[in-house]
Amino acid sequence: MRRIESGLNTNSALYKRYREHNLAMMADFHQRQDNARHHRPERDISRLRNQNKMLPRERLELLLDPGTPFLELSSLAAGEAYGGAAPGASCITGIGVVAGREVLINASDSSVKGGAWYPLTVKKIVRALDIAIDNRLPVIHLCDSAGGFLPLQSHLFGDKYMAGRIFRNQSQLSKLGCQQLSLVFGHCTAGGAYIPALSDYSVIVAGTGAVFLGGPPLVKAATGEDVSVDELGGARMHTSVSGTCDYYAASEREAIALGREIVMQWAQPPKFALQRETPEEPYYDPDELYGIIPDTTKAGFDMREVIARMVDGSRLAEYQPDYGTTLVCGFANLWGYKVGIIGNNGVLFNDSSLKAAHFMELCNQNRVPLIFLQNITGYMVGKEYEQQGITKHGAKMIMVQACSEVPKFTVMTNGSFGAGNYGMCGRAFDARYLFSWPNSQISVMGSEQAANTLATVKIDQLRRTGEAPDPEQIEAIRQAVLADYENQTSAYYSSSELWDDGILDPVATRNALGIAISTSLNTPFGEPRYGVLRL
Amino acid sequence: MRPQYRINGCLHEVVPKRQGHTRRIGIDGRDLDVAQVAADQHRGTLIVAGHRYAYHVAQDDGTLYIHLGGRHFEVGIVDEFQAAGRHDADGDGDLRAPMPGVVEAIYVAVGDRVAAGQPMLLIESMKLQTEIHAPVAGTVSAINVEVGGSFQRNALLVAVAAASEEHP
Repeated sequence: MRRIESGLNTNSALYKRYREHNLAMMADFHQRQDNARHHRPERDISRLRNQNKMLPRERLELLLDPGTPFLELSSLAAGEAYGGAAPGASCITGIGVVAGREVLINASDSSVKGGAWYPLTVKKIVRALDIAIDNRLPVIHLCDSAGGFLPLQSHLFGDKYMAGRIFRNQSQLSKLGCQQLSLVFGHCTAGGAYIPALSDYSVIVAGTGAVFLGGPPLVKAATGEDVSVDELGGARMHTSVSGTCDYYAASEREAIALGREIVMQWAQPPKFALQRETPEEPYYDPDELYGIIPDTTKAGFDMREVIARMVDGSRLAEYQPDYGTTLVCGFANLWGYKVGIIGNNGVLFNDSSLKAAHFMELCNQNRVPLIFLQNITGYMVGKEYEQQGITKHGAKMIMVQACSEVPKFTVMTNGSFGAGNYGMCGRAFDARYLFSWPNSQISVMGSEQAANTLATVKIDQLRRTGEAPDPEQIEAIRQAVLADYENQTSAYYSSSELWDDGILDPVATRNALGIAISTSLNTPFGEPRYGVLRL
Repeated sequence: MRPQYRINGCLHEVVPKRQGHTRRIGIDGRDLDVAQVAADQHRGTLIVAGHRYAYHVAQDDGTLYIHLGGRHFEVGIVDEFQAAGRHDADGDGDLRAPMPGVVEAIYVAVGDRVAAGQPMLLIESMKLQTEIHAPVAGTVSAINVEVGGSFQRNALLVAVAAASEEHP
């Protein structure tokens, strides 16, 4: 396979300008992530210490195999919601290694509001368990949650993808043969009680751990019965009387040691035999990505320069290099794994859409996972393109993509606007994992275009009622729309709302994808099969 | 395609013929039995037709530097694509619009000498700014657009008289 020949000039003024801009953006991103992970009011930390509890990340540190990577998911979930009250959506999810097994971690973050479930907490847990289902991952739940955040209960309880989905997903996981272990560090009350109860194995910590459908105050109110926490759902009772939990632990440390011993007994199913080579670092330095990504979504860049800093040996076997050139397609290896890469190099035209559809068919036929590198302002508009069938060609691309049986992975590298988001495997299209770069933006159309469209609509409305459009009023509408867009198109907003599985520093993308691909191999890839393609 | 190596400046064809503990390789049509006992990444013993040679090797990108039996060899792999020769980009010096759009900036003037691939125009279309590069090296002979002006697909934006036409 040939190495990509980089045309990047690291001495150019543009490279330096982009690099300076992006390094500042990365510093801000890492600061936000560090705050979400570690910055807590002293009283919350001392409350946990007084209860003889470890901080959630201290538990993870003990549980995970030393020296192994932990791919944290959605670390900035809820970052832009609830006035910042629930950093990380008060839970920690991710892929890690325990006793040599790849596992999905779902840990309550009791250092945030006692680990209470906000609506976005529920969304984050449901998404983590969806990932476990898609990738057949065993799950370890670290339970220490105060339960649903009652002031927002109507946003987290009744609907299909709300709290009930957690237990539905746990049941489905079990049916698929994925083991689950619960380590009960704190109270698991009401719905939360089903997390250990639906797990194959559970360990409960004496003194602090408890499992019950209703706590003592609720029992008192409902039936008048006076009962202590320990009698009602403590470690001794559940491990020797009810059989709701399996192992009694005198301390959190012992619970974690027991947990590791349990996981050590789990079977390790063989991985799908995807073509593999010996992994090799990229030839070009991934650090140069900071000088490639522009400081605006308006400016284009050659996606090959990004691919060259992501794949093994910077080598790409490019497919149809002279056809549909606004899309780069090709085969490469990433951490040794064979992958098919589809990256935007401009607007999607008729030919680039057909190229994408055909390339995805090749990947499905050859059982090669697909990586989508999104930087897309949309499908081309205009009479000439419509007459040539741009809409039906785009539909073919969407159909083949949506029906692809091979695992898909999406990275938002810059812009993601309009239907381009769909064709390139946006959130709605079940990528196994979708990651965003801090600079990336998502919206149904560009902010300028949206502001102008809404202004035009307003002018037409005024004209219909016989009023003359007031330029100041129009400008006010434009500015209001622009301000809203500013916030809601940003990667921080997307990630806060769980439209992705987390924001990545571009240089970390290669490793994150390596872990993601590895998890996708727990189940064989299916036979290619599509719906009706409008030819 | 038979693999080619440049050994101390001379091209040789080297074809592996058998895998396993001992390898038979064909060098320029002559077969040799070869075995290698590597001590580590950089040292070992090479056994060629029963004779043992200690070797030291270092790699710099695609080139191997080998000391063997008191002699020095520089071995480079000849890329299949290099050996096959590359097809040149076809086309003339006419720079046509890849899509409808608006001109944002013009970097060159009529009479300027340009290198192939040099940025000549910045256009904007579909919220995306794209630099348009010189298709060939030569002299700018015409600029048919102005900043702020719009154009249709395939419109002739800039013409470059190829250098080879000027200097036959």
